[in-house]
Parts: sequence; C-alpha cells; structure tokens
Amino acid sequence: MDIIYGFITLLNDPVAIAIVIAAAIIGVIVGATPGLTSAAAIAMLVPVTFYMQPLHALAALYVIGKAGRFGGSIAAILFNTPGTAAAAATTLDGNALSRKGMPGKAIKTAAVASAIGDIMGDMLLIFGAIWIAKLTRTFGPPEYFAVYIAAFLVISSVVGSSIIKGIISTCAGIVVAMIGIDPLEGVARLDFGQLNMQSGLALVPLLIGMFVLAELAIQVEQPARKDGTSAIAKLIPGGDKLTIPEFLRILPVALRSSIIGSLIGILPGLGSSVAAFAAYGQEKSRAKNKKEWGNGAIEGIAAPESANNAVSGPSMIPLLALGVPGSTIAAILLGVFLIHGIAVGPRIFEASRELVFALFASGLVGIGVYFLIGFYGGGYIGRTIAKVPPNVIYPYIFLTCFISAYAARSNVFDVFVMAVAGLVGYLMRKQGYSTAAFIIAFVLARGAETSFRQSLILSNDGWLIFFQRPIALGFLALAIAALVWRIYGLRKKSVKLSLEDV
Amino acid sequence: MNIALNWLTNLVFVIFGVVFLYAALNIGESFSGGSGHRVLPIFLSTSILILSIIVFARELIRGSVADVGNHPITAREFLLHAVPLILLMFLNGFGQIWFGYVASTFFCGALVFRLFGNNWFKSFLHGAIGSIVLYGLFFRLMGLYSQPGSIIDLALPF
Repeated sequence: MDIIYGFITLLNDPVAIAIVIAAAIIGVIVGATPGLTSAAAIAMLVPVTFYMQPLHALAALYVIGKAGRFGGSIAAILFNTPGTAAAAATTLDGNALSRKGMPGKAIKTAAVASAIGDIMGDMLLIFGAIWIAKLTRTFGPPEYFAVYIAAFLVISSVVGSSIIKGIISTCAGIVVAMIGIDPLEGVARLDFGQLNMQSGLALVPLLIGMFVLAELAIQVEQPARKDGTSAIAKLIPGGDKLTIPEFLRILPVALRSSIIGSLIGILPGLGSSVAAFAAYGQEKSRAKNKKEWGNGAIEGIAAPESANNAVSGPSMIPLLALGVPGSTIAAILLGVFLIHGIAVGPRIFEASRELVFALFASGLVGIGVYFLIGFYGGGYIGRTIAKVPPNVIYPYIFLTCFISAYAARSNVFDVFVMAVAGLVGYLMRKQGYSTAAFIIAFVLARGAETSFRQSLILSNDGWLIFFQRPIALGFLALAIAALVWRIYGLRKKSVKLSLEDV
Repeated sequence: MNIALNWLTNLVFVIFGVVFLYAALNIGESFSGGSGHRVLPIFLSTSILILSIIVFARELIRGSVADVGNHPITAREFLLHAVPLILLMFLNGFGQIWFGYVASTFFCGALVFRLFGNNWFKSFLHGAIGSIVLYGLFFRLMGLYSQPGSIIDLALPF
C-alpha cells in the first residue's frame, strides 16, 4: 500500500516527474558514452542538487544510476567498448550480434532484460527493505560496528585483483576520513596545521577526482578516436526487430539472472559487474545452445543486462536499513540524504516514509522511461554519441569537474583536493588498487569509528563485547568467511594458471 | 623515455603511510584525557605502511600486476599526459584566486582542449564557450559565490 501512496506523491509533483524523465535521458547518454560512468555523472551533479528539494535531488540521482547501468550496454553493443564496467559481459554477445548486422535487436534485448531485472530488484527493495529495517532496530553500537567491519572486509577483498591492495585502499579511505575534528573528543587530527583541513575533506571533490579526473587522465593518453560510425555494422533486413518468440526465449533467462543480481546487490561492495559475469556464467553453463554464446546469442545479452540492473534496487537496502551504502552510487546518495538533513538507518521508514516510497516510485517510473528510450531510440543515441569527438567531450568534462568540486563548499581548496585525488586515483587504477573501496571506506569511516568507540565506552574498554553479542559475532563471521572464500578463489585461479603454463 | 613507473603507486602508499603515521603519533591529548581518538589513526597508518612496503618489495622482485584493462604506467604517458592535466587543474584553482573564474577557466580550458589534441583555434574557441556557459549556469543562474580575483578580477559584465 505504501508504494501506491508513493506513486500518488510523485504524480502530484509534476516537477519530480519531469526530473525523473530528464534523469533517465541523462543516465542513458552518460552510460552510453565510453569513459563516463553514472557514478561520475552523479558525483558532478551532486552540487546542483543542493538547491533542489530532497525528493527531486534523490530521484534525479537514483534514476541516473539506474539508466546509466542500461546505457553502458549501448556502447558495449555498438562499439565493443563497455560504457560501464558492468557492461563488459554484454560486449561478448552484444557486439557480436551487432557485427552480424543486428544492432537494433541487441539493444532492444538489452532494454527488455534491463527493465525486467530492474523491476525485480526494485520489488525486493520495496518489500524487503522495510522488513530488514524492523530487524535492525535492535542494533546497538557493537552490531553497527560489526556491520561496518563486514562491509570493509567484503569490499576490500572482493573488488580489484589483489586482497592486500584492496585492504590498503580501504584503510587509506578510512584514514583520510579521519582528517579534521574528532567527533567524540573534539580534538583536531591529521590536519597538518592547515585550517582548511580542520573541517575535514568533503566527499564530492574526492569522488570527482578519483572517478572523473582520474578517468580523464587515462583517456588523455589514448590517441584521438575518429568518428566511430564506420565501426557500426550495416543493418540487415529484420535486424532491428525483437520478435515475440525471441522475447519468450530471453524471458526465463532474464528472470533467473535478476534473482542472481538482486541477491548480489544486497551484499555491500560486490556490485553490478560481479552480478553480470556471475549471471552470464550461470546461464551459459545451463544453455542448450552453448555454441552460440559469445557469437551473438540474445540470451548472452539478456543474462548480464538483467543481473546488472537488478543490483540497483537491492543495493539501497543496506543503505536505508542500516545506513551502510552497498555501492558507490549508494555512497553518493548517502551524502545527499545527509546534505538534505535526512538521517538514514532503520528509523527512516518512520521519519521519512513518504519520501522513501516516493523515491521507490520514481525509480519504477525511471525504469519505464529508460526502457522506452532504449527500445525505440537506443541505436540513434549510440550513433549520435559516435559523431561527437571525445577530444571535445572530455575537456568540457574537465571544466565541469572544476566547477562541481568548487561548488561543494565554494572553496578553491576543494579543487586542489580534487586534483590530488585525481592523481592518486589515476595511479591507483593503473596498478590494481580500488578507488571504489577507498570512497566507500571514506563514507563509512566516521560511523564505524563512532560505533567502535561507543562500544568500548559501553563495555568499559572491553573488546570482548563484539564477540559477546550474537548479531555482531554473526556479521564478523560473515566477513571472515567472505575473506577466506576470496583467498581460496584466488589461490585456485593461480594454481589453474600455473597448470595451464605447464 | 618509455621507462616503466609501475612502482610509483606503491611508493605513493608507502609515503602516505609514513606521513600519516607521523601525523597520528602527533595527535594531541584529548580534553577528557582519553586516548581513543589516536588509536585508530595509528593502527590504520601502521597497517598501510607495513602492507604497502610488502607490496612494493614483492612487485619490485616479481614485477607488477597492472589493473585489468589498463596497461602499466610509463614515464612518457605519465609526464606528458597525466601530470600536465593534473597541473592544469591546480593552475585553474590558482588562476581563480588571482584572476577570477572566467579568465582562469578560459585560459586553462584552452590548454586542456589543446592537450586533448585540438588545434589552437578550436581550443581557444571552446575555452571561451565553456567559461561563459559554465559561468552563466553556475554563478548567475544558480547563484554560486564567485570569488573575485586578488590580482585582477576579470568578471563578465552580466
């Protein structure tokens, strides 16, 4: 029933609807542009949302994130260049089908699968989040600290190619978050005597530096890409249609993959790319037409796209129920919630119920809008993007980065922070360190430290409190299990690689 | 000129660990006499330092593992492309402080367009368009505070 009230709230606000439609368009275009991600676009638009009402701000960024996940498939299909990391799995069959003269069929398949996955994920969010929030009302500081530690360990061990580098990235993010005045004691820490650092570093400049400026620094190394339209294959008759029998073939694939994506989406740190490849692998292993996979099978497009988009809704569950963001986009949304004075956590369903369900409703409307754009206009968008030279787009993004970082606090110091973050982000990405782990750790650090020190105060400095509370112990065990599973997986892979050498 | 700089990232984290450990050890006493505010910074900085030394040493001996999809860092790419881009962002910041937003964005914007391979005419044209449009959008339409230049304030008449 609450979701119906959410739709009523949304439909009574024509500005919100216009914003959702605009956000869906922006998200598809950003996702379809190689080198840009929806997280980067959201990071640059956060300062713009300072001047908006909470629902408008959150709906805009949430829908950009959803539409961007689909948009990445357009670049993957047309140019063999995934617009987002999660669309990398889509290139395998999407681009192959495009080269056979059926780009329209591929994009329509991606649009249908993305919409199915996103809706399934949002159903889990709408009906699951409030139930989980009820469970978490009994959490105290030890339980919250255990959740944060679980998030840190999962994020640092799963993302990237090296666990040690993941741990270094996570620890660095936490340390950088500690710059400024200590929240409990009121003492200045790690500010190196600089007044500008006593209020701490802002999230937006770090985000823009690590995601956008670092990407520009990588892109500036590439030779200027010529007009990409010649790389798009010529259309064959019927190559633009998705027939009903084909739709019935991809439907069960999309439904199964959306379950995989939804479950992965609930766990912090795993993200869309893990879901996409997991679903692709799973569906390929059970497929009857295995030989077609990798050569343009429409099921090979439906599986990763459905899983990838199914992550979007469930990744909001730990954010709303616990205040722990499950993805980079959720981390940015946490910042926006706080900027607008809305405390996230289990009480959000009491204090801001109307806003939350209106946000869910805007997500569902956004899915409908990007589906229509993708189904009927995806090819046109791809061809248009191909005509704009990247050596013109990227410098404009550079100029927008400057103003977005400055706008966060109207302080030029934030621009310098962004520049340093850009350099560090570039170096990190080149050598397998995770910028996503750094940013998520930065966002979670304050809450983690506060709950840790509150726990020690409660127990008179007794560290055993974390092991005496069953829920806290459960989360710690989950975190260690994730770490052990990851170590085992990496060792198995390295043994397999060395056997292949032999 | 194409020397590999793969060790640079690991060295950055070693230096990060040293600098922040030093800063953490110099955190002042709290008013309540507790030491809780120092524990985590010291622990984390030490962890970063130890782990990054291990990675640095391991990759010096065994060779580095570049991120999937990116090739390793070479001196040429780093010094001729990445570093100038970052320096231009610093220059843009200082330019805003000295000359105001429009002038610094026009000049630095033109240089960025040039860095991405455009000819000089196109670079200055797009630099002008970018600075005017973003000034109008953010400073005039959205009311963002425009810091006047301390040397010369080259603001637009509107």
